[in-house]
Amino acid sequence: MALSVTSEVRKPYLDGKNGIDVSEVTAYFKFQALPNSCVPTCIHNVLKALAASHRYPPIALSERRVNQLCRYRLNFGPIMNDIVSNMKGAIRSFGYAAYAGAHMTYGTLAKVIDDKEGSYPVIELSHKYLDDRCDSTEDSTSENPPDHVVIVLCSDPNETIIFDPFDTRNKVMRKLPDRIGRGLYLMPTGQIMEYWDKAFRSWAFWIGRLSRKTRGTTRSTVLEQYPVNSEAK
Amino acid sequence: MAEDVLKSIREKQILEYARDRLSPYIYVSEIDERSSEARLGLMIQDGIVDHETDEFRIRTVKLSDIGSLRWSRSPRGKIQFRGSTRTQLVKNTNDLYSSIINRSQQLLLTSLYVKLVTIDTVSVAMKPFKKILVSLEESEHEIVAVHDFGQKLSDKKRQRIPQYFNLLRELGYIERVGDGKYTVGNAMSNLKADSIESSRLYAMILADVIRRRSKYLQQVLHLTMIVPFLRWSNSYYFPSYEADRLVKMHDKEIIANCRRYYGVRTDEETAKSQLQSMVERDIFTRDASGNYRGIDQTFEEYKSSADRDAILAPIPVS
Repeated sequence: MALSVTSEVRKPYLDGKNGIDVSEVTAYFKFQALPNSCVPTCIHNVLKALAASHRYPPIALSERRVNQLCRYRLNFGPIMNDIVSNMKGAIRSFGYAAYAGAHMTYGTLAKVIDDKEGSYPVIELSHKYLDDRCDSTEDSTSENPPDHVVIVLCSDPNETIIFDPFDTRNKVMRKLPDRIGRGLYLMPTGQIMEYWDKAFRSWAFWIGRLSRKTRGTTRSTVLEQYPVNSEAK
Repeated sequence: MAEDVLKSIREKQILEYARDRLSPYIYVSEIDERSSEARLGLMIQDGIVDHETDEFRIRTVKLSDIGSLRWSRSPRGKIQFRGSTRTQLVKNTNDLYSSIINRSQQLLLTSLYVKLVTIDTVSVAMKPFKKILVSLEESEHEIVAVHDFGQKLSDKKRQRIPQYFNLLRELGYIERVGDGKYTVGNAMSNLKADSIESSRLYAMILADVIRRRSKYLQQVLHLTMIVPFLRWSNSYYFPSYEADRLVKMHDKEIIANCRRYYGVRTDEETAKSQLQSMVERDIFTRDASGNYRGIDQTFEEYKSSADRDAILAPIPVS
């Protein structure tokens, strides 16, 4: 589902998966409670969206459960290496699998967004994204500052709609001209890709549906479709 | 130049390992190529809410040495890392972060003790000290005996009375004149010479006892009434210090900070009532929307001692 970029006024903004108004999709999304809880918050949100679109409530794991699966700890955040394996174990019996990849291509990202069987992708953006947009940190001089993650709801070669779990906490962000709703931003795809590319791992994460044929095995439709550098480490 | 490139490559290798397996907030604080060892730091991100400007700012506190990693090459030439586990890093981090929080609390105490001592529950807890001072004042020859105190108290409480006397003696407010008998000490005489009115004099002495012997009061005499008030104060003033200005916070944010700094849960009603008594004692102000704001003079005093102590500067483990 691609966005039309010709018109200035083009509400409603639709998601790239089911053509639903993005503000409807994200109406029940949560915002991060702590500065370093963006990863579990985004994963919790994409699971909720998946549960709603597939009409399958069990996949909407609670925030607490997602925190456990991500091995989230105060001040330490999640353990990135454990997220995929732990999530896989938790959702496999529901017929889903978790995937993550570093340095994924834009084409793969677009396919993940398009796939009605899977979740929206969560992508890692460089710390510069926060520095540029919300004047939220005082530590930009640090050489390797921690990155941030957002959910991609829709993208075409020109523009991308993201949900940022940091949104409601920051006044500067809320006044940005590209803010199109609660937590929602419409940004040039080139800019998003730049932030994504400059992130430490250029990480991406998503949930896919195990195919009927392969459910109960270790393979999934998503993995078969997108083998390029996308398998979890 | 080549050394810089090597350092940068090494740092990336270490970070790739540590951020995937330990925490995305790890940074490399030191690399020693000779011993193939790197010291790891952690960027703790504090979220500071300010309802004055409607902002949520992230302030990073850097702990520069929470653990280490050593690297070696496998026979196949692959780089391998060994070192601190996440559990060890968490423990070191908690210890270091607590030491920053406690140091801040100690500095705040020196700015707040005069006000804290007037809070009702604190003043009740400090009553035994006040009784000794008042008795001295009222006695004909300015002499009091330990055995005159606590006759109506339980055995357990009576046993603590000599400790109250000892503490006041140690600080110079009273002096021993015979077996179990005490008179006015130098420190109290000096204060009296300044013609300070009695109730203010007692408050000053009790505040000084709290300031100079808070740990003893809490851990030996079990007078812990002051603890929650100090924690609330720190849960407001420390983030304000991080933000470098007095911010406006709602009670739920102060409660959340307190939980994060001290790992304690307080029910909302108790918290609100304690915060209210602090507003009454001019430790905070509260506006019509329920937002708390600190007092400029208290903040300036606390800020200058916190700056002097560099409480936010990265501190090593050893």
